[in-house]
Amino acid sequence: MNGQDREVLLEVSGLTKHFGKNEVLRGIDTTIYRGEKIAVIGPSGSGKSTFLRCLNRLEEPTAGAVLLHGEDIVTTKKINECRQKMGMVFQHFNLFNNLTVLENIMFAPVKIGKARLKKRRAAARRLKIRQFFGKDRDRQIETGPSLAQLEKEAKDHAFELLELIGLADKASAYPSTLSGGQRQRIAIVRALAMKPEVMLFDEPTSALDPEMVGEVLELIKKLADDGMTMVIVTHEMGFAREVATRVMFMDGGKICEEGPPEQIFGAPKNERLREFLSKVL
Amino acid sequence: MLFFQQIWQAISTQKYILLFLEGFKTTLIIAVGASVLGLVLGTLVSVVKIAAQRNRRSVLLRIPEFICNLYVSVIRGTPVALQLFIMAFAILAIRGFPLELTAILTFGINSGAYVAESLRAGIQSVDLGQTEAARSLGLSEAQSMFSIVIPQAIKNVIPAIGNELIALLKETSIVSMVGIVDLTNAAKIIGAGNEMATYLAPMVVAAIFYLAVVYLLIFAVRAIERKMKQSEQHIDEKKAEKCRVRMEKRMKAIEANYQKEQLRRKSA
Repeated sequence: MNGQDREVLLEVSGLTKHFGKNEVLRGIDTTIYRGEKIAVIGPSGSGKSTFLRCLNRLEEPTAGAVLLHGEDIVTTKKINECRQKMGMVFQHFNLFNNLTVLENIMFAPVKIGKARLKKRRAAARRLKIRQFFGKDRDRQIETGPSLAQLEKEAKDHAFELLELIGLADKASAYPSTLSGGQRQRIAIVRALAMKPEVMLFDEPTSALDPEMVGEVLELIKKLADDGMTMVIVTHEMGFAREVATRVMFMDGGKICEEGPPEQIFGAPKNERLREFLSKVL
Repeated sequence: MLFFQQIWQAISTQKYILLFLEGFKTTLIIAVGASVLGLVLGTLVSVVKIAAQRNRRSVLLRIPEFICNLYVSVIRGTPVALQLFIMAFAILAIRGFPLELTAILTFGINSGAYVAESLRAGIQSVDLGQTEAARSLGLSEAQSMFSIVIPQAIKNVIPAIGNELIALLKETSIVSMVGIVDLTNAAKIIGAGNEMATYLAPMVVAAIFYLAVVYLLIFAVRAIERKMKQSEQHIDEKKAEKCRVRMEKRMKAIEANYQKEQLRRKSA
């Protein structure tokens, strides 16, 4: 399990976040490799969620850097492109209330694909004008998928994902008519529809009825088994132990201890971690 | 009895009823024009304000935000009659400039400020999680605003906007102060005529005109409200079925478009 031969996906260094005078994150340094499943645990107010939200800049970090494939998410101008590579699942699902389930899943791929198509067409037009004046004769702009192709692919992919979670019959329902577990599973596949490289889960089961926690965790586990890189902020210690390849314990805005689950749950070194585990286990 | 006779006289005499209808038409033109302008202006101002609020860092948005704040506070802080006078006698006091257009501009700008405030409240009432979800998928600020937040905000603000439109319709009666013959002014002119010699009857007739339109608006707002509520919470079978049919149609259209394109590619 040495890190040298694995591909680095996210590199976090000196991540700091202040809310006014309140220091929520005090310098987080960590490296996330492709295929890792990281569980972030810790008492409430320890900065777990803020850490996760800083990773895709939903929260603007005060200082520090988050490198995704070498591009700094904190300062980049192409934040939207970066976010497309990172799926996020929220505690309260946040499905789009004004769209049906299918539209929820198709929305981002189609919308973003359309925007790209527009850009490509504009570039092609510009190139044509340049070529008219005898410049860039040999250059060509790849056409990419057309709108019809785009929609068809998005639809097929959406149905594949719905089959995966067994909710294909709910394609035309609105989120308000679904149960919490169903909504959260749809939220997960909505994030998957963008084919992300890493999934961020912000307490995905905290707002669910106990009987629905199982179905959501099962889906996350299935993703983990398929090799998806993920960072999960969770209070489900059993799940963290079972699925995670690395557990991070956060307290007071810092990573106090991290390591494989056997070490964290079996032989915790940190005093605060021991105290925390004695309360939750 | 005399009162009813006078009302009858007001609506049965050809020149009176024509004057009423002419005034009514003017009132409607001003109200409709102003509400369209107001809705457009209000949407713009509220979007600018929200965008500035969410991007505190951006210096670029500070200036438009300042202008919008100034606009809203000045318009809401001064009487509309004064605004109309300023427009009609100072800013747009151009020979040959149609007074009705002045009125449309004045009331449009006026109602824009009010619409902006209610829209802003409506946008803020949409859960921030909706924006966050859209942004986390990689959509831009504008895309998430216009496709996710505003459609939901509109549903929340329909009652407030309805009220604003009703108020606007009635406020247009102020235009009689600059000499436009609207419904109110028509009633006044008829009442002041020698034959009528009473203000009460024509005023009552004008009131009935206003009431009719306002009632129509109230019903329309209620119907829209009801329809929008149902569209997202179709617990009953019929609505669910309707939605299913709609989605199926959409999917079929996607398939058909794709097939068509495949064919076109093959032949090309």
